[in-house]
Amino acid sequence: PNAKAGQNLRYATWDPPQHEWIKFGVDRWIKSIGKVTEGRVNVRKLAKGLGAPPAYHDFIKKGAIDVAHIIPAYTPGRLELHKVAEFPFLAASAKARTVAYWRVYEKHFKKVNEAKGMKLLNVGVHGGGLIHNTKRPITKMSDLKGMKLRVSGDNVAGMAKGMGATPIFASILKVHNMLSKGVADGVFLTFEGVKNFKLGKLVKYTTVPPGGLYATVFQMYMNQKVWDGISDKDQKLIESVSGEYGAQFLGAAWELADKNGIKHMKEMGIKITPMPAPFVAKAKAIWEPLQAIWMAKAKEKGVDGEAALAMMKAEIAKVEAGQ
Amino acid sequence: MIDALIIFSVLLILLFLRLPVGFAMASVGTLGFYYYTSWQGTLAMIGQIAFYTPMSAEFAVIPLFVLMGNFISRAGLADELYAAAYAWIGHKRGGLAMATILSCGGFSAVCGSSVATAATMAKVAMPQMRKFNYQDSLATGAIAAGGTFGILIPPSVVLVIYGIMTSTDIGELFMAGVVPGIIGIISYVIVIAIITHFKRDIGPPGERASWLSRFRALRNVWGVLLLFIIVIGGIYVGFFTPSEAAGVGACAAFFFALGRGTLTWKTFFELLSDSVQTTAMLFFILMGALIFSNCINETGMPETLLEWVKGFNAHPIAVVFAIMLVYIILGAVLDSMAMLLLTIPLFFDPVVNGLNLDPVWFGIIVVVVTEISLITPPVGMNIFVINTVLPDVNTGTIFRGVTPFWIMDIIRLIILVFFPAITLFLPRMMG
Amino acid sequence: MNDYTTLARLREYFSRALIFFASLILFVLMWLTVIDVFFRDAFNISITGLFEVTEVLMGILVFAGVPIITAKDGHVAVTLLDSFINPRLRLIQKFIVSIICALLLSLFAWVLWDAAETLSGYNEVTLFARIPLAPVCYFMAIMTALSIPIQLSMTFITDERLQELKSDEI
Ligand code: NA
Ligand code: NA
Repeated sequence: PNAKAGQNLRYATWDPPQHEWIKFGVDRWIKSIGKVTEGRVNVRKLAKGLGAPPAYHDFIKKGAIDVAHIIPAYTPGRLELHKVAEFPFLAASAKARTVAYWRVYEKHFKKVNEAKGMKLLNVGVHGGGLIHNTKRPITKMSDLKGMKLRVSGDNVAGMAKGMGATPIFASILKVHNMLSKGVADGVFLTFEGVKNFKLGKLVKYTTVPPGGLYATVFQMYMNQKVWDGISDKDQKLIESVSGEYGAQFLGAAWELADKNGIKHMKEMGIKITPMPAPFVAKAKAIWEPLQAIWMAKAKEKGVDGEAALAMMKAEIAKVEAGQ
Repeated sequence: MIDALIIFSVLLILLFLRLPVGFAMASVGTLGFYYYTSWQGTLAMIGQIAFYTPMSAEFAVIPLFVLMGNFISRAGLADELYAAAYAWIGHKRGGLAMATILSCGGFSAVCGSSVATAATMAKVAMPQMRKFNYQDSLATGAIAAGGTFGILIPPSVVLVIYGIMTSTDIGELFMAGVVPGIIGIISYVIVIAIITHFKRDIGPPGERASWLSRFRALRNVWGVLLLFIIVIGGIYVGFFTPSEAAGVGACAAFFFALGRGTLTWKTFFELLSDSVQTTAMLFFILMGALIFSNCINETGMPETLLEWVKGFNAHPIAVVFAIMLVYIILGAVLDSMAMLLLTIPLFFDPVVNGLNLDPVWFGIIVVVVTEISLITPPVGMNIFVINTVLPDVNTGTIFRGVTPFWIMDIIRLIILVFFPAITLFLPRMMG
Repeated sequence: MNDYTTLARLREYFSRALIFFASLILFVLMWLTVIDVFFRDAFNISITGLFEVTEVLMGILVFAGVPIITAKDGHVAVTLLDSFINPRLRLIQKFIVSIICALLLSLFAWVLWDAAETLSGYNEVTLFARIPLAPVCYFMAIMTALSIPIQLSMTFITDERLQELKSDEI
């Protein structure tokens, strides 16, 4: 009794429905599928998620859900290539990162078929990650000494360690509790995160590294069998509102989220300061060896990492210039 | 909607066929999910739920609080609580039953489970009440009702599960349980005073203790007080998170039991093994509930309910009362944990997102109806557990004895629904 | 006859070993939490990856408990209609319940094994402590599989004996 491919597809996520990325990004995509295929393909969003976020990779691959997004960082060891869009000091703009990443994917990663059994439809990258804290303004690296900072991935954990802070890994939903209890002094997070996870009353100081200290990639996949069951005509139509086109508005949704986040932070009186140049230079030095690790992994997968990174930077510049 | 009702009916039939709760929910959930998706997808869904559900650092709070309660029972702190309450009010008419209620409340402050509280207090309080010729119905009724505080007064395993399932702050939920718990204690004491006023012979007064021995008895409850301050106070001032508090509490309780010389290697392993079994049992139900709720999710019932609540234009309180009625009916026939896990995914969204009601407040309301379910016939876990500890008192007698407390519970529930501030002012003052 | 007693003894040893192991895990879990709090508050040291150790221990703890509760008939059931059922019917009911439970345990064992194969295929590890996840998942699958024969053996045990088993001490 499969919901026959090409008719009604099911989408599910653990993300809250009111988040900009869902409300103005994913929901818009879902609506556009029905519209562009004139109702031949419809995506239905389930009221609730199916399980733990890391489980979604297998949910899609094995067909528990037809289409959904995953966060590759939640299942370390499975996917590597996406990390090029998560590098520090690349772009503050979510839209620039998202669109550039999709272009890099098309050119360099698509042929490798890293996630077998799944069809990549869309990507999303959130805006550049910042350092928020409840204690003091961070203007030089030594200010971070001994601070307990919540991190979300291994690269940013490596950065935190290198800068003298103590990384704590925890679900984003726990951050409010951790900050209010002093279990953590700060958090690596976006502008939007402060608003969406209700941290505005807790965070006092925010340091903004140029181009962000990290980012997190979201990838929306469809189960391959389900995809193959859709007619060629409808596949083309779906692709016409996904990929590059999707990246434009999915990135814009993240961008809007950040805009709302900045507004909220200003209202809350949070002190937002750019990361001073000497600090940036030191942080970049810490990043170098971590970047080399990725280059090696990309090579293992048969990808020219240097070329991909160069293209990423070039495309970001193009998007920021309005192309 | 029809689909969902059929699925619920099948589940109820399986439950009454005595299929264990977790297995019943898992099997109905599996078949239902298969009906809406594919066999391969269903297998993947079950596999991921089974693997990731227990792999949660947050859930570590459950075995640790269970362990803490077990160590405390072993340390004999329940006896001292009872002795202290007895010394103060035992000489009043119905005083031993009142002492039972007070010590149940005290024990609940260090034990996260209602069934464990009822079982422990049955062993401690029953012999005393028998000695003074208390009628079995009043004696066991007080224990059964008082035992329900285990899940309302923090720490509480039920509040932990509610908190994790709905992403509500567990610390706030714990604080919110305090005042309704105290109101519960007072209301039960009033119930006993009223009953024994009219039926003077069912709860004769006990011995009067001298003022000196009263204060001496009070001195012995410092163990419970210290643990409560460490665990709940620690959460309140933000010294640690609930799971850390559970670990520290278990550790402190371990040293209490050790310090009192009540731990042998044999009992030590018994307590640990007992806690492991309780944990495995709870998680099996939890996994079953998640699989079942994934199947209900496919039916579209949650959306329908949400739409219905939004379109109904009823006063939010009316909707809440309708939900409470469902809870009381379900709670009569279902195990409390099963009821909770079945209904939270269904009702939480409509109530909290549809009606914009406070999730912490709703959590406490849900726990209070769960308390009620524990003493509602025909399936009242607290009654069964007392029947296991005291096989010579039949369940009919216990149910009869618990009835006045049950009525008081309903009144307390109505008050808590109408005055959310009672529940919410303490957590609002926190952090 | 001799074979039977050997088997019974083996089962006894196994269940003791498993209970001992699971108990130890819980005790370790308790100390880990305490040590974590202590280091954080006393020395401002946060042990990276401890969080993941806790998660893995929880997974092991819960599934080590599954054969134990199966052997003790420790699953919660609604016993509402028990008093209305005659002994003969009760036997049939018990048989059906046992078969459904065994089937479901088999299903769980199977899907967990499959999940373990997947994890092993990716060499998936936890983010910081780098604990490989596949062995944990294999352990869960094996514990569930071990519970299947235990569950089936429960079919022919009388209700009285079941009651004893529940209150049995180790
Ligand atoms: Na409690
Ligand atoms: Na009940």
